[in-house]
Amino acid sequence: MAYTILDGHKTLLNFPRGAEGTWTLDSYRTRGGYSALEAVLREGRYTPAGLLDQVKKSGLRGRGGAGFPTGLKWSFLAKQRPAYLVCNADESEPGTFKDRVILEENPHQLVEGMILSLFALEAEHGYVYVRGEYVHPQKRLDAAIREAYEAGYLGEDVLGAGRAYHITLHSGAGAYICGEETGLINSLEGRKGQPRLKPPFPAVIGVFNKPTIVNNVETLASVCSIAEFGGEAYAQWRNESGKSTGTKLFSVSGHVERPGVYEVPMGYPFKRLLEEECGGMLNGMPLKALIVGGSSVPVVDAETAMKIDLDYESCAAHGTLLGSGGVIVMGEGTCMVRSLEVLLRFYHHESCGQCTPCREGTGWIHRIVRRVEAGQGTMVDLDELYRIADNMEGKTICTLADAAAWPAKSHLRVFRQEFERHVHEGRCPFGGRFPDPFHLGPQA
Amino acid sequence: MSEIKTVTLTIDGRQVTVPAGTSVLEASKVIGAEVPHFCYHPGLPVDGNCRMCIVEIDGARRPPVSCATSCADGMVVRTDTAAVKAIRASVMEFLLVNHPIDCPICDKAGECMLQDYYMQHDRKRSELRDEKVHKPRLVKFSDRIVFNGERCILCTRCVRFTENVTRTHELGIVNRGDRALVEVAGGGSLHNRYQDNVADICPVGALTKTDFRFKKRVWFLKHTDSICPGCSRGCNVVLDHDKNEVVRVMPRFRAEVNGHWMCDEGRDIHKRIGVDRLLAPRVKLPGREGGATPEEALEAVAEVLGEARKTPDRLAAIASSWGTNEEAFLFAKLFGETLRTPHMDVKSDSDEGYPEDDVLHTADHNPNRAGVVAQGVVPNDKKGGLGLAGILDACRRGDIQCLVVWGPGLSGHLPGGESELALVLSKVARVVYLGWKDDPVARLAHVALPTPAWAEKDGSYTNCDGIKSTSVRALDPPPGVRGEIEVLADLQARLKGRSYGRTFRELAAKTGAPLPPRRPAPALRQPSLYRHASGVARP
Ligand SMILES: Cc1cc2nc3c(=O)[nH]c(=O)nc-3n(C[C@H](O)[C@H](O)[C@H](O)COP(=O)(O)O)c2cc1C
Ligand code: SF4
Ligand code: SF4
Ligand code: SF4
Repeated sequence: MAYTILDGHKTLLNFPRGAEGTWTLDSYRTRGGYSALEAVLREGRYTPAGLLDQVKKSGLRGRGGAGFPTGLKWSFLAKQRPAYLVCNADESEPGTFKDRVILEENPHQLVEGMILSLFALEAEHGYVYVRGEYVHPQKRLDAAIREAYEAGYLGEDVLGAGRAYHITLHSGAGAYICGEETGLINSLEGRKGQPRLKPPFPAVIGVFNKPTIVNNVETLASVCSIAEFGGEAYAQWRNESGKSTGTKLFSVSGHVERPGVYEVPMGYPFKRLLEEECGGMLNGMPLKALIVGGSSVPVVDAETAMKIDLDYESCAAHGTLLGSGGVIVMGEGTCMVRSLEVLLRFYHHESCGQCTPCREGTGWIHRIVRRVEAGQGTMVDLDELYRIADNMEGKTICTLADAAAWPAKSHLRVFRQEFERHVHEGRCPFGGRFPDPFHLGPQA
Repeated sequence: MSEIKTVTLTIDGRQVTVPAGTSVLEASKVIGAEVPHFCYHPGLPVDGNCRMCIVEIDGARRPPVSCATSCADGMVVRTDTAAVKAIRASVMEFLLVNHPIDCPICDKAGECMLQDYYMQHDRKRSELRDEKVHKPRLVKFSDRIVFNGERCILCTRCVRFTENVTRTHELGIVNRGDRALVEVAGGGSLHNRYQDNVADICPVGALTKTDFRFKKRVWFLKHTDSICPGCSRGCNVVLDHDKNEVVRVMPRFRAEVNGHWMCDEGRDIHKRIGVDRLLAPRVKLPGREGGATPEEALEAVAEVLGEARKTPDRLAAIASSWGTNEEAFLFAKLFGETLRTPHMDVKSDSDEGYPEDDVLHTADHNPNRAGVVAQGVVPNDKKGGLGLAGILDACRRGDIQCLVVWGPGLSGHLPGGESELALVLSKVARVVYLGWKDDPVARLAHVALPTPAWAEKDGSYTNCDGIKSTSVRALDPPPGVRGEIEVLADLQARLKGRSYGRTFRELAAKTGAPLPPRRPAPALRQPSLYRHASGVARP
């Protein structure tokens, strides 16, 4: 089991995978669940400021994709009250399905992490915004929240400590853009889910115009380990530079023998993840390309992939990003033009449409790539594609435009020859298909 | 005195000092290097969606949008670097990729921001090989407004207008990405009274006015600063006209009067100009019956008034609340000073139009009641002067021998309307009417003199808040029709009163009218660049 390397410590997947009932309160308690919360609230292990300090010391960085230091973000929370904590469980990026495992199999750890975070932030009320399609995870989380209320971990007087904590589950309605924190806030308020101009940042003006901290599921669940063992203990898993700490979930899909969600320490070599946890490439086929951090990050070729360590710094050094940890593995035989077409179809569909470059650009580059894949592109198209993607980058309200531009530019840069073959041969050399590594529905 | 806090920054190497909180975009206007923009409008909350106004600011991580960035002390802004220019060109390219570019059949052509900025910032040929995105093109948002989804650049100005100005919330954007579309909520139609503003602020030809569609190319329009006489708000407007006909009424920015807006009643107000006009003088005096030349009619009035001055107590003068301050000034001098009647008052000329609301429209459908009163058209209390109701009662009793009525609408002050009016006036020996409408009084009067409509003369008006605005003559009055200033000055001369001047400019010094800037001779319009069709700097 993947998490055995962390045995003896409370981490995220601290239960035998596939076991029944791991999502119940009883099971969570047998794994030491809620002990950190009891120590904090009953025994006064930390003051709120003390716990925040531990989170800073832990070096925990946001697991939602941007990797922003969590303790630092928390310290920006404005002083007015009420303030809110929002858990971002909108996980909708192609290739990313790690939060789902926490929601489905270990929801109590998220609940405990949220209560601890509310304590550290001196806030009372937390929201969990869950992706609309996550019907099953929502049921599990809902049940866990109810159990927590019944057991007195949530309510007006939690564990007799005289503090009130509440968590409300809110279902999304199927828009990727509601995962962007300010789009999420708009949606949570009942408005159209589209990102807000920043500044002001949510930590100053967030949900219901109140100071708000938005964190990813995995980030908040990780707070349990920090409260339990201390920030320094958490930071003992670190890469060489020490700037990536703790453990991280990776959701692996594509041409591997054992796709799934794995928890490994930061700095774990991708090669090892592929060969040990995932059991190597599917049917021993050669690796062709890797998207390491979810569909938004630049793609790399096999040679680069094998040099990557799974942490922020190594990914950046190899021209990509750790992102959300959605590892997409593509074997030989995959058409990279088609790969890009599928990705761009997604961004074209999901752009909220506020900003000119994103609204018009996502559709434009998608149409060009669709034509190239169909064998009707020209060499000029390839240059145009790169130029347009480049123009989309860095000038929009949120980073969805960049998230569409990066795969486009990297696919073209790394696999340029393949695009040219489509032009010269007037057809897709791979027969318009790839060995179905992921399935994204019918052509848009 | 409370000091306004200011900040000093550098834009393109030039220092500029602005009040704290000013946006970089607004500050750029101060130095005349306005940053191009589509979605920003000074009368609406900032949205920052078009991304056209991106500038470089030293120390900023990403180049920010200048509309949403507040000026700070020591800030160094660059609006003209190669990088900024490249960003503008690329935003233009994105805006045009799915735009139908049907300028030849678009009413906005000539005053379209997209067209103007294309000439300035892009000038690239189309290289598109893919089909453009198609959207609904002829959607009736209401009887007044038609929407073309393909021309729309989704700047949300119209949406923000209905959200923040009228607060009627009819418009919203449905769907995402390049399928996004402005729609009327719930499939209804626009129902606010300020609809035409959305077509004005639409930076492109996506929203057009039913009334103006396909009527006229904007570069044929002449633009004259005027006011709207529809209510006592006195919105500052521009009359867009050609061939002596007003084709369109547009709001003119005046922070303390109407801001950027005006109501739909004001948009249609020019249509009243041609209706029920009194076009020629009428004289019904013994020995003078029948048609009369303007000169003869004026002589007849002078004769009547010369007779009336012998018994000033039995002379009464009722002024128009649509009259200008300069006219009211002469009216007060003629009747109060020269003819010495104590009985003077102002009446409502009109009670037609929208009811009062909390945006602009007031309850008084007359533009200058306050100004006419301020110029001295009031009963002389010391001499037992009668007000409007008193004058009408005195007429009824036969106590008034000569009644002068300026402007239409007197019958509206009598419960019995026109039939009562006939009865009341039958008791008055001499009735004189001055006005632009063929009013019942004009038909009953012994002498009736036509005057110009407000668009046909110069003058200032004082609105409900005491603010003066000047309206410039846009149209020629009907042949032979002379303005009130001339008529009143002429009568003053004939009746040997003091001379105060015979032109608007001479009298403006006395009424404190703001003098309009003299416009350069109208030339065929160049692509308007940053200028609005009216020649006023465009928001
Ligand atoms: C288009 C877009 C989609 C996003 N979707 C998610 C998401 O589904 N889940 C998530 O946690 N963060 C998502 N993010 C990142 C959030 O905006 C935000 O950075 C994150 O929730 C912060 O939490 P963290 O600091 O714990 O990572 C998205 C960002 C963008 C631009
Ligand atoms: S970048 Fe795209 S998704 Fe993000 S706010 Fe702008 S239009 Fe919406
Ligand atoms: S209709 Fe005009 S004002 Fe409204 S969003 Fe479209 S372009 Fe902007
Ligand atoms: S509010 Fe009054 S003055 Fe303004 S446009 Fe309407 S009618 Fe005319």
